[in-house]
Amino acid sequence: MQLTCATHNNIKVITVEDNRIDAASAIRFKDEMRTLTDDGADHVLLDLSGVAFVDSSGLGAIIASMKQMGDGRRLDLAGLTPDVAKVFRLTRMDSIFVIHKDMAAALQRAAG
Amino acid sequence: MAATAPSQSAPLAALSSTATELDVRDMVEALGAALTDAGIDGDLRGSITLAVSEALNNVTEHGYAGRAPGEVHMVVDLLADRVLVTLSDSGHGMPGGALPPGLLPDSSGARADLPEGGFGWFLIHKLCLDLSHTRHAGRNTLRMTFPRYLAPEKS
Repeated sequence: MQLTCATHNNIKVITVEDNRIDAASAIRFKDEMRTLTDDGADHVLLDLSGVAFVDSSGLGAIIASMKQMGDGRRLDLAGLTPDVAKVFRLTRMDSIFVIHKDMAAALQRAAG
Repeated sequence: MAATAPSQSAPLAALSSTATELDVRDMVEALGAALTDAGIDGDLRGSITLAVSEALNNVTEHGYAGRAPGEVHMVVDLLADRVLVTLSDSGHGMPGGALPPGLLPDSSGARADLPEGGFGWFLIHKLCLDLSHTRHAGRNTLRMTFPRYLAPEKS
């Protein structure tokens, strides 16, 4: 599970470099998200544009990543590919997360 | 030899592997490739691979819980207007002998109370047109039916 990290407009952007977050990688994803968000950044944006497949374990790991950040800190999502967007829609997690079309839209909204 | 009846035609794919997370990932990717080869793509392909992935993960996580991972088999049949995926394994039976109902976990509470699991059977029920489980002589057989041409999602 490879994640890369950058900061734009005071937003910590974490990009998932693997093309799937599934049962085989969910625990590592959650652990690496904990490490990367431990610095207390208030606003974290998870770029999923390179991820083609998320199963329920991957979904659970993304939810856990938000929960472990604690209240008052944001984890937004961006760049959901069609099959990933479907998992969020079917489970109604699209009403829990702020989901941006892509990174440009997410950063523009934050700057505006 | 006479033309083969549809029920006797060769499956689109027949795969076996050990029920580990990495092995079933390979199985799901092989399923996706087989569906693409059969002209099944886009939303429908995504739905079938997701539902089958959830079922395979259940075998890995629960079917062989507390014992060494055994085998899981997958057969994919193309019917006239259906795709039939049959999974079989020699793991534990279903709790209470029946398919879990697949209710959507409640996400209406506070952030700290959001569910992190329990979505698997919900997704399987949601994405399959028909679903049946039988257990015979210590083997589980799960038959998952999908449409061949339309998105299966139910409202």
